[in-house]
Amino acid sequence: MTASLLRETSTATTTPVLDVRDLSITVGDGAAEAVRSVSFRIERGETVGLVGESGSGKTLTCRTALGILAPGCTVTGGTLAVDGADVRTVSRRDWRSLRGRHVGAVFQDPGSYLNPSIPVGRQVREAIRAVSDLSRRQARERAIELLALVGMREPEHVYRQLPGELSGGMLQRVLVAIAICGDPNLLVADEATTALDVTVQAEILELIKSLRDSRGLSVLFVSHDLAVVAELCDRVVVFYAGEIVETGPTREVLENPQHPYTRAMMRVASLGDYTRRELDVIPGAPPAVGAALPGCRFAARCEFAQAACSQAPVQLTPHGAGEVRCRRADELVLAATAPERRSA
Amino acid sequence: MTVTSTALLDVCDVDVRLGRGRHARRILRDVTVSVRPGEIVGLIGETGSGKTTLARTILGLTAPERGRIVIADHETSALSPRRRREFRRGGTVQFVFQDPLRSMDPDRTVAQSVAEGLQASAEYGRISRGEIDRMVDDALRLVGLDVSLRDHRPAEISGGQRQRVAIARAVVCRPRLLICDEPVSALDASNRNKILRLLADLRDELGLAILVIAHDLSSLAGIADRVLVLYRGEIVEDGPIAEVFRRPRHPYTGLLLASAPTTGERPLDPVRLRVVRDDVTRDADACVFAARCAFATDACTTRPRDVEIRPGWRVACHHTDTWWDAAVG
Repeated sequence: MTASLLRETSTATTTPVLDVRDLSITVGDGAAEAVRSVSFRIERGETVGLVGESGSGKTLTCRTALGILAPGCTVTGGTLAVDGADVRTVSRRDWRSLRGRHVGAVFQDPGSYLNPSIPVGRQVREAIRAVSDLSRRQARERAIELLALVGMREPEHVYRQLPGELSGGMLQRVLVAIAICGDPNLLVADEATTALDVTVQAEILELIKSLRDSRGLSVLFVSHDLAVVAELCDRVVVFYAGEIVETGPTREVLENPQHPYTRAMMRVASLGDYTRRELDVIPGAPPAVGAALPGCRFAARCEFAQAACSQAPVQLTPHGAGEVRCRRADELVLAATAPERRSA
Repeated sequence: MTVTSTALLDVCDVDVRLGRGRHARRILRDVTVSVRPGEIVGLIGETGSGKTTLARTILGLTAPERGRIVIADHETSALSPRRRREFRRGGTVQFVFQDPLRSMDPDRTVAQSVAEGLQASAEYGRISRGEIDRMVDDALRLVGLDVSLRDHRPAEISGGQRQRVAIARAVVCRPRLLICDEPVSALDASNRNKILRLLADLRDELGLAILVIAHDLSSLAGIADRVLVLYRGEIVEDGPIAEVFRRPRHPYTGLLLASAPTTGERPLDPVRLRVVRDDVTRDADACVFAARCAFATDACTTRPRDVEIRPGWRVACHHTDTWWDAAVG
């Protein structure tokens, strides 16, 4: 498969930028199934947030989209296609044309992705040369343009600076510049704003929004912070213990959560209201990664669980504009307590 | 600045300078903090604002250039280094770090790690093994851990449990002041709330004074009574947390709140608060926030005095009364 072939398939309007179908991933050399039959799509220009607690499988899913699963982790079932190319059949060499040109990524700790002894501009330039035929001089100019595009006030000056001379927010901007230098259709952001100061986090979120709007970029945004996802994402996919438990348009999911876990997660999150006093918790702990349970994986912690919930598997079924994995979805009314109390 | 004599911790007009010669930099300036027994005070500030330096100064690991630090009626800033170390080992002040995985020896069991808290104290040699075991078990129970975990190693327990062990290690010697540096930023929301609840319970049960250092607002919400906002080494606002978060009186506090992600309506638009000004100097005599303040005027080329706008609420801003209307209007 060549890069040009990938380009052609991606221009077909019906091809989603990311198409995940029944994806299953095992960790620990097959010891435990950490992602179980996960399916979702990202259309062109769409921003989708994956939320869930640590160990829920959201990071494994997005690392699969980048072809960077850690040793010991294996895709055991299903497909994951980036711009129509199934990553399971992509060779090592073809990954080089897929990464950068079709999918770019930013992660939590920007400093650790840059060489501390090379000026950042040169690192952006090399990334550009890896995905294009530009000469050094042209790539340098392009790098300075990109540094300006990601909001650097003095791109020529920043170009010559070492990573250690830049703040965390500036480094994350450099990483965004590298991620988009091959003009990809999909940007994967895995906890990309988590370690940043709150004022800097807001600036990086605005940068991602503006890139999405100006370049038609699709974004897969992974975060444990529901409020951040609410700020940015069109749709949200809620992970729990390796499975998707709910999906839907962000606004609807937050205003009217259908799965008890989603509601519980909203109750414990501060969601931007820092004046409230109650500190709710979700009782118990999630099941061990890969634990074989006959029924709903959240049942043991669910205030609405009935005996039948733990007996048979529960399917993810269409519900309103989204999907929900709950036996009692039709009978439960899970009022969204979070956004209302703000008006008080 | 008057501080009531009932405070357990009094940090008064402290300056701290780090580095030598021409590399010396002032990290903290005129910092005043007081924490009473049974009070939880949050300290919020961005990377490099001096939060950790302040914690180290309170512990006596960094000497202030100026000012006074009084802990439980001991003026630790006036002690010789040796006396200060003795005071620190007495266990009146204990510290909880951000990342329990890195602050604990991976080869030591939970019980051994918790006993470390006792080992530094002068009395350690005089306590019997049985007594140490009893104190360790008490501390584990106090933080809500099952004593059956005592022989586990850090890698064998969850992140939330590890942070509980770190807290058990701090409370095992019955401190009166607990300093927690980002105690929950490595945890997800549910575990975060569990740990915050635990800190609130310890305050109630032991009458502890607690200083919680954080870079994000959600680590303080629901637990702190008061919040101190630190910007580039200076405290710009100090007041009751719910009221400060509802209607901040310093533009920097306003910027922090406006920037925080939310699912609801924003009272303040971050874009209207966020500026980078080239027209304002970073002069030492100027307001520390002037260069980033959307409301700075000529007046801000002089440092604002710390004004008590209401009992227990101090703000250092020339435009305390007017900026909010300009921001929302």
